[in-house]
Amino acid sequence: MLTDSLGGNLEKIREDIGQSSDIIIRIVKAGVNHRHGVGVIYTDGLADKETVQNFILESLLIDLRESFQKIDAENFFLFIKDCVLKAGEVKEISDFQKVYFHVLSGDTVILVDGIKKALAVGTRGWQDRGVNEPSSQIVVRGPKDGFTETLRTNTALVRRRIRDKNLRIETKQIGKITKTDVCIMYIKGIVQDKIVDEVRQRLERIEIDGILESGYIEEYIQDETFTPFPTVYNTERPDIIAAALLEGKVAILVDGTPFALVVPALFVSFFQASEDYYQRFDISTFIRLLRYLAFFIALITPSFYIAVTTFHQEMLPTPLLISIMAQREGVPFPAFVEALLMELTFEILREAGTRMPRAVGQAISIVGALVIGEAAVQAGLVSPVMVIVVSITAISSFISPTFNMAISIRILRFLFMGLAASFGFFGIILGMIALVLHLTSLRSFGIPYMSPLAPFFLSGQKDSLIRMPRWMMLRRPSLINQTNIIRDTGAHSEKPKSREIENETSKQGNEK
Amino acid sequence: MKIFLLLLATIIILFIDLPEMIQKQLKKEIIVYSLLLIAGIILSILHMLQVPLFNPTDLIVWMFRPFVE
Amino acid sequence: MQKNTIISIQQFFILVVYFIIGSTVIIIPSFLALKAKQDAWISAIITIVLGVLLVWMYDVIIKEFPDDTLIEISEKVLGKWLGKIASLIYVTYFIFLTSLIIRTIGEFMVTQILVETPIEVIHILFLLVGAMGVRLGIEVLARTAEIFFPWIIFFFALIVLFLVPRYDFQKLMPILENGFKPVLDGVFTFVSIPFLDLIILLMIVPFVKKEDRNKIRKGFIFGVIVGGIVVTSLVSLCLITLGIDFTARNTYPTYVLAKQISIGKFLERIEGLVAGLWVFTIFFKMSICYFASVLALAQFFQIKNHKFFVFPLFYILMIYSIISIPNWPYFRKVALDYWPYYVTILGFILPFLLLIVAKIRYRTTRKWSEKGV
Repeated sequence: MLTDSLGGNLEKIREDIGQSSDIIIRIVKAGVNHRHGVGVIYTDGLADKETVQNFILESLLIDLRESFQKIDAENFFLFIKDCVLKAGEVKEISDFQKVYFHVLSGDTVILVDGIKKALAVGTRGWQDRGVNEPSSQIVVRGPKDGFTETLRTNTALVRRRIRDKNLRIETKQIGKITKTDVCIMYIKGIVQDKIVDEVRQRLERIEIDGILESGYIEEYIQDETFTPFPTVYNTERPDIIAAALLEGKVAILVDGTPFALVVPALFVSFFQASEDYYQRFDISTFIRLLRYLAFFIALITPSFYIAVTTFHQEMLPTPLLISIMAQREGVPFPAFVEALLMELTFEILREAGTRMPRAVGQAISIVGALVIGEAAVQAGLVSPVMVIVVSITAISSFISPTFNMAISIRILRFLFMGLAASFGFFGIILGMIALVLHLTSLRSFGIPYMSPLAPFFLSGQKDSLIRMPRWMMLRRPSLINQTNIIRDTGAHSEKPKSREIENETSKQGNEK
Repeated sequence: MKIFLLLLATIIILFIDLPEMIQKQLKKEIIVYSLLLIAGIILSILHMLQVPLFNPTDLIVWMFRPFVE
Repeated sequence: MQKNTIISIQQFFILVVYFIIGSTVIIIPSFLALKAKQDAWISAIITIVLGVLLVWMYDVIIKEFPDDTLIEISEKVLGKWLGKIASLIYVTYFIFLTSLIIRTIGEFMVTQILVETPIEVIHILFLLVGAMGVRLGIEVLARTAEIFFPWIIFFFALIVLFLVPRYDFQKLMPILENGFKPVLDGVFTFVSIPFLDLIILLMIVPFVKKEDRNKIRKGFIFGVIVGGIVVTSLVSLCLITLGIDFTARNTYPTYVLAKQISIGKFLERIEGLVAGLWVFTIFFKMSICYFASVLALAQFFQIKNHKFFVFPLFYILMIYSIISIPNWPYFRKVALDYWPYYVTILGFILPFLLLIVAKIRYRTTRKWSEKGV
């Protein structure tokens, strides 16, 4: 609790904060005859210096000079609060914890001698990256702004897209030491209350010292930990968040990272790129089907190769078989070892490529191309077919619009390779069954992960494997959403009368 | 070797099932579970030692022989 | 009893279809050709009708006890001791059936595809995935079945289409050459292999969603018809492309059938696809039976959580899948001559008795559900 002595309060604050050089404590004498001692505390770098200078210190030092002759401390405090400070956000606080919280969040705290309360003035403003094009989910057509590391900017980006009074943003601090701001965003009236409650409860349960990225939150709130598949969606695109909110999902934004979370996340949502909704529906459908195909290819091509070359040679047409076998002639390893070797090499190269400093990236790709493409084949370590297989796999795994789904295939691929090496197609099929069994057993915030494929919903099919035209998707996804399901009244399901326009124009032309 | 693998598998299975049963104190479950598991292990070991075991198919043949002939 | 897991009526329908197709397609074409010769398709069609009537009878039982599995029904109807005996008979039957199904796929794999792999290893892998499914519960199994279902139907249709150039309807002539006797023999065989085994689905019916309860009969019968049509068409395909003798003498005529496919010199040797289809369908049939066995066992010992019986049963299934069939010709003989009597008792006579006893006791007492037993 704050005491009424300014010196005592500041002494305590100095003691608690230590010698940290970035905490600025300034004592000024304000008012006529400089009667009132005022302490101003802020964090250098977090508080906006301009604001502190122009609207707080200047007001206190210059504007107050001309005011009342005599005024007691109580009224002086109220006067500062109500009449002097030229800032939008002013809060009265009365204990030290709050003081530290505000100072360390970038606010400026003003203490007045003789008053047991303090004022926290919103002066947050630090250097940030600015709104840039997101680096992970790139679109050809569509908005190019992405989230930044500042929570306020991010909420503003979403708010700018949804100008509705029902868009709710609940903020809470998580992390005993970092006290990171975490926001829950949803549209009241569209979202199911059960899901919001569930999100609140799960966030409530988090006990951790620090949150540095939304991944921390994700691990705490996901339904199932032991699964290679993501059950929480993440994105750095505000338009995806806005679309998710409109579908009745809940977004979780975390301060300090551009990646926001969306729950519940279904298997199909990891194959929906935002651009699907900006392009024509037929093209989007084609591309989306392509993604599922690529997912499948990335998953089983190497194991398919292993199965065919070790167990089921008879399945290949004879000329192809002969050419493959001729190529494999000089290879000293069984197909499984060959595939494992190449896949591992590729994984290492890829990882090196992502973590390398940009400047060295070029070198990596040259080495990679030479090692994988040329040298390995010429040295007779691997067959050319294997190189093709690895390349197809690699390219296919890059097609996924979400990075975390692509990672899960990378792991599973090795599992399938092992199964194929020991059981051929039988192993692959049983692996597929086990995989789907696992997938269908997953849930994301109570919603079955594989819906609307299983359990099957006809209405859900309009936006899962394919994308129907917008005017056919009149309802929101039925599993996530049950209360406010009508998205569009369907006024546009009739074709526009384009014929009449032509008639009209030609008539005018004739008259001329 | 086979018997060793069998016992290894059994240990893994016990690791999966037992903790939950003990935690929830399901006494009846534990009894029936162990009985069945032991029966299964004994059957497997006998089979591995190539002891002829009771064959239900033969029973069916024996039971319905009068009808067929 | 864990009845909080739910499956929809579509999923139940799909499970019925899998149950009819799985393992039947491997065994039945050869059997039918052996018994009914070129009239196998006639017996198949008659059998579907019989199957529908059978399911109708099951449905009467289901209507009487919508919330109970077969084990619970028999214990309610026959009283404690008689009921326990009936349950024990069913439990052993379920376990036996499961191990036979596993053996069917194991034998197929070992003789046709993975010739060098020991059959035990194949059984272990197959059962492991099954055990995973059963532990996850019938809900997950049903959903997985649902995801694969369109593909199964699609590839089945593909095979039927690809074989069109090889159709030879002359092979079905002359119709009813030896009168009706062989046809009825065929009916007896075909009814016994998938249709009388359908009694096992009475273990799963209580898991159907409450709001779908009144559609059970529709779903059940529709499933029997669709599955029956798939099997019948495969039987007929075997007859009209391979001929009677070849179908009857071959162990896996449907697999040989797929080897015949050759479209434009590039679409050849797609029998692997067929083998894959059989693995899928047999897997789901096996899982249904495995689940039913586990559940029946748990209910026999009156234990709530059936999940724990998955692994102990694993050993028993594993051993019995190997030893109950010393060799494949012996199995063919048993399945052809002895098995029909066995399942007629379990799949028809016993349920029929249950129904009659239930009706009599129902008249003397009040309705079961009102009694609150």
